[in-house]
Amino acid sequence: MATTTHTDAATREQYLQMHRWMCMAKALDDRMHILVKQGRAPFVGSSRGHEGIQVASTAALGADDWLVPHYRGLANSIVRGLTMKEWMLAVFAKAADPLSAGRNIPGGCFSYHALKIAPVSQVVASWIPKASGIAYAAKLVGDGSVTLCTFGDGATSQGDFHEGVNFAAVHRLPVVFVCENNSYAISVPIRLQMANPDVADRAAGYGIPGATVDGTDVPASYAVCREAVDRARKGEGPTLIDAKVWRMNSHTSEDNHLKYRTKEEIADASEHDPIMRFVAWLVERRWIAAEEAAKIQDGFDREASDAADWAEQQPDPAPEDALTNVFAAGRAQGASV
Amino acid sequence: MATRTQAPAATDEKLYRVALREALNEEMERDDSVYLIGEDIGKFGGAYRVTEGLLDRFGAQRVVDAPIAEEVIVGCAIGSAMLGLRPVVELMTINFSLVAYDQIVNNAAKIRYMFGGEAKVPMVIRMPGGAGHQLSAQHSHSLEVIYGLIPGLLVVAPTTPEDAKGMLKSAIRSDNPVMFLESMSLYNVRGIVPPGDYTTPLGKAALRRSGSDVTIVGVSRMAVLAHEAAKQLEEEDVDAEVIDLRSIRPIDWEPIVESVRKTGRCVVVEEGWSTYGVTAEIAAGVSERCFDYLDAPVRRLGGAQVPMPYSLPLEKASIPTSENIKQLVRAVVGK
Ligand SMILES: Cc1ncc(C[n+]2csc(CCOP(=O)(O)OP(=O)(O)O)c2C)c(N)n1
Ligand SMILES: [Mg+2]
Repeated sequence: MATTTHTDAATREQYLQMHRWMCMAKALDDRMHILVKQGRAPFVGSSRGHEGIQVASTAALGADDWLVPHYRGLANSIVRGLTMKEWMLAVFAKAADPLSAGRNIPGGCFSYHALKIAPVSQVVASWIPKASGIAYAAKLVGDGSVTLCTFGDGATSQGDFHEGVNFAAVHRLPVVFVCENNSYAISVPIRLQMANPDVADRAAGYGIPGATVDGTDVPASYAVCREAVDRARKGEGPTLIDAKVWRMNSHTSEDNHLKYRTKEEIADASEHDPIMRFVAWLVERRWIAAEEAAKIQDGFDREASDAADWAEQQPDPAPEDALTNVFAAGRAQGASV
Repeated sequence: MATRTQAPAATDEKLYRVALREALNEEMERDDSVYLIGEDIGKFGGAYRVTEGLLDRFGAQRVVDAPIAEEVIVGCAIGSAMLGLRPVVELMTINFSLVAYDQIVNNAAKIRYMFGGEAKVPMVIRMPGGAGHQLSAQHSHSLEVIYGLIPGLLVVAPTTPEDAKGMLKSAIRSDNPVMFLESMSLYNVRGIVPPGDYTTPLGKAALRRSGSDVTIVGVSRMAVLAHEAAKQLEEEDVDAEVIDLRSIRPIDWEPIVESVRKTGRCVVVEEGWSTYGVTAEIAAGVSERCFDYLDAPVRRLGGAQVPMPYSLPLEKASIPTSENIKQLVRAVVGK
C-alpha cells in the first residue's frame, strides 16, 4: 500500500483521534448489522469503506461549521460529536433521540441541530442545493462558517447536483463538496452513470477548483479537505473533491451485492479498508502499536453493544405527540379533517 | 380501451410481483417497441424484484439501467414515446417521482394536447407507494392524488395479481401516458392469475363484495383492507359492499353511484392524506350524485396528517387499519 506524502497536515494527536473516530463508526456499523440480523433494527446502510474520507473531511471543519452529509455519513456525524448512545436512541426511535425524536430513519438522517448537522434528505442529491443555501446564508450573515456537503457518485447524475454546485460557484460560497465515489449507485456501476468517472473534472466547467484523492488514505484526504475548507473560509469559494472509495458491504441490509458484483471484486474492496490502511500507516510511524489499535476497536465494540442494549430500554415517543413538530409553534395546525 | 380478450382457463396462484413480471415479459415478447428504463432494473432485478431475469432475456438496450436521474428517465421515455416506442419506466418508489414531476405534468400529460392531437405519448410509469415499512417521511408517501389531479394522465392502482397483470398489459398498449401505481405492501400478495394473454380494462372500478348496508370504496391497498373489514363486520351483522376504485383517473362513477343508491351510506378510504385527497374527490362526487339517496354523510378515512414517522408505534398510529375502517363503518351505519 502506498504511503502518503501529506503527513504534516495534522498532528500525531489529531491522527490518533481520527483513528478512534473511525473505530467508533466501525463498531456502530458492525453492531447495526447484528441488530438487523436479530430483528431489533429494521435496516442499515453501512458506511464501511467510506470512513477515511468521512473522518478526514469532517475533521477539517471547525465547531461552528455546518455538515450536510451523505446518508452514509455515520463517521462524519461521529466526528461532529454524535455519541454511541445517541445513535442507538435514534436507531430504536426513542423519545429522547436527539436526531429526530424518533421521527426520521437513522442511516438516512443525521439531523442534529446542536451539532450543526443538517437533515439529510433521503432523496438522492436533494441535499446539495440545501448545502448551497446554508453557505449562502453564512456569507450573507458573515458568520465565517463553512459548509461541508458530501454525497455519493450516484448523486452526481441528478440535476440537483449541477444546480447546487453551479449556484455555489457563481456566488463563491463557502462550501466544500465531497463526492464519496464508491463507483456504484446501488447496483448500477459507474460506467452506466457517467462517461467520465472522475467527478472532479467537472469542477473546471463550474469555474472552481477540483481535486481527486484516494478517500481511503486519511492523511491525503485530510490535507485536500483542509485546503478546501481554508479556501472557503477565506472567501475563495467552493471546491469539488472526488474521493475514491470502495463500498465494502452491500448497498444496505436490504440487498445482496453478490447479485451484481463478483466475489473477486468484493474481496478486492475489502483490501481497501480505510481503517486497516490507516492503522498500518500509524504503526509504520510507530504512533500506535497494532495491539493497541486492536484494543481500541474492542473497547468501542463493547461500548456499541452496551449502547444498543441501553437504548432499547428507553421510552418510546408518546402516540399523543405524533402530530407535534409538523408546524411551528409546537402545535399541529389543521391536522384533522 | 382494451377489454378482456380471453376468459381465464385453469387457475394459477401467483405473486403480485410475478404477475407484473409476466405482463412485462409477454408485452416485450409481443411488441419490439416496448422497452424498460429505470434504476437498478438490470442485474439487480428492480428494488422490488419485478424485472428479475428480463435483462438476460431482452438485453441492455431494452432493459436500461439508468443513472439516478428521474428527470432524464422520464424525459427519455417521453421523447422516445413520441417517436413511437412504448417505454415502461420503473421509478424506484413514488416518492422519487416528485423529482420528475415537471416532466410528467408539464410534458407527458400535455404534449398531445399542445400538438393539436398530432402526437401521442404511449408510456407507462410504474412505481410503488405506501407506508408501513419504517421507512419514514420521505419514503412512505401515497401520492395517488397528485397524479389524479392531472388531465392527460390515466392513473391506475391495481390491488390483485390478476389486475396487476391485466392492467399493466392494457397500460402498455394504451396510447396515453399511464401512471401505474403499485403498492410496496402488495408485491408479496398471492392470487389467481389467468394464464396467457389477457387484458383488464383501465378506467374501471371493481366490485369486490356485495352488501346492502353500506358502500366502502377503497383506494389501492385500502381496498384490500376494506374487504377484510367487510368480512369481519359480517359477524356484527353489518353487510358492507366493497368497491376497489382501481382507476383514480378517470373515476368510474357508475358502479359507485349504483352501489350508494342501493346502500344509502358510503365510507371512502385511502392510505394517504384525506384532506384534498382521492377520498375527498370521491366523497364530493358521491354527495353530488347520490344526495337524495344518502341516509348519512359520506365519511372518509386517510392517514394521519404528518410526515410518516419512523418510530414503529407512531407509524402504526399513522396508517389506517381495518380496525379503523370498521369503526367508521359502525359509526356510519349507527352501530
Ligand atoms: C431521487 C432518488 N432516487 C432513487 C433513490 C433510491 N436510492 C437510494 S440510494 C441510491 C444509490 C445512491 O448511490 P450513490 O449516490 O453513489 O451513494 P452510495 O449509496 O453509493 O454511497 C438510490 C438509487 C433515492 N433515494 N432517491
Ligand atoms: Mg456510490
